[in-house]
Amino acid sequence: MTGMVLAGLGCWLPPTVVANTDLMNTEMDSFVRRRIGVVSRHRISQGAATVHLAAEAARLAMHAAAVNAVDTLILATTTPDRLCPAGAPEVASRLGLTGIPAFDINAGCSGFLYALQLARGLLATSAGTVLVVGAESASTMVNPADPSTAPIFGDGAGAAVVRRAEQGEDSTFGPTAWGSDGTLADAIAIPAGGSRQRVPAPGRGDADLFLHLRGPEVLRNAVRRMKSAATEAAEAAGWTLDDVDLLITHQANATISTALAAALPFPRERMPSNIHRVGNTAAASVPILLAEAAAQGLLAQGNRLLLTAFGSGLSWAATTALWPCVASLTAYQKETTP
Amino acid sequence: MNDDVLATVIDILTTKAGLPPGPVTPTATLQEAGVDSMAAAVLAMILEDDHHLVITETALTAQSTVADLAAFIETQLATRA
Repeated sequence: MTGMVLAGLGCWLPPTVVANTDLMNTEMDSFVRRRIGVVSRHRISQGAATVHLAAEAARLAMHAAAVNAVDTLILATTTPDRLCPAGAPEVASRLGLTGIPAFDINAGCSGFLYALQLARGLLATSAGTVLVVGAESASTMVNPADPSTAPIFGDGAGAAVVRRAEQGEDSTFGPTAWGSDGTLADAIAIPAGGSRQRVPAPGRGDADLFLHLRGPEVLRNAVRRMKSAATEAAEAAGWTLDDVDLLITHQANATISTALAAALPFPRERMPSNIHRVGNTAAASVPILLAEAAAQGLLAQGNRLLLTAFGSGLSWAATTALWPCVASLTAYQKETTP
Repeated sequence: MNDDVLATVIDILTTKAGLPPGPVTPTATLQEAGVDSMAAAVLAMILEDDHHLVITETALTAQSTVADLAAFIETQLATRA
């Protein structure tokens, strides 16, 4: 298996912060804090969208990796600026990289880990360096009037530069366990806007243009699938869960994280979290959490990380990471962490 | 009623579903205990995965108190195929 080294990380959160109290009454605020775990979230400004977020995070990751070019760019997103074209080519051009292969993937909140696995394939064939970006304008896909989704999601982007490992060099990323279940495709879905249903059904107003979430079903599948994928990836790497220093999970909601910790089992205190401040940022969730944890000095060289995510499709993925000495730049933290 | 089942239900609702433990007492109604759809989903999942007992969230949340919920689960466990 081609070794894949993490060379740089970056994350960018739009400056506008929306607190629960800006969106809901005190009772709802209390529930969202306790059970979803969200207190505030970042929100894209008018006119900006996912390509903008992705380019900002990608620029920081390239700076952290001390590179001014990459061979290929993958953008994982559920909220592309437009159905067509993909956003990745525009992100590449904004970085001055017109001409490189660049494409989007949509694996929901599992998108970044799916994209990492694709990057590994590219590094084994056609690329020496790949820029892997998870970016979402998630606030645009939720109906502001729907209390079951509106408070959960936030906007932001995280990016990683990965490169082929040198001969004898440790690979940062280990085996990946991933999968999907299309029989539950409707559990997390935006019914209208695509080729199956171009416009909302008659009499449904614009509800079909927003995310529909079957909460309990999603919760059960999220816990079960993230547990099995994480366990499988760790075993494939020859690790027990006790060997894992930190579990980096998709920040779906606090109750899912609590239930996953109990199900694995894994100590909740070794599960970094930022959902209280950034909300659920879908495909950007894992890279933002990684970039912030690294920039805050929570990740030491040699740490064993287990990354796991679950999302629409349904989709899930997990992979291991042996943390390298890597710089991480976040939008509000100028200095790099050696 | 079997105290073990009651203790297990309270443990699932608090440590595994993340409900604040204080209000989760045997005589509390499910609403007073804070049992929301997420907590019911976690309870249903664990009953299925760890105890091979399939009960819908609807059936679980139809019970009135935490003690009733435990008694209902105990009955289902006893009549489990």
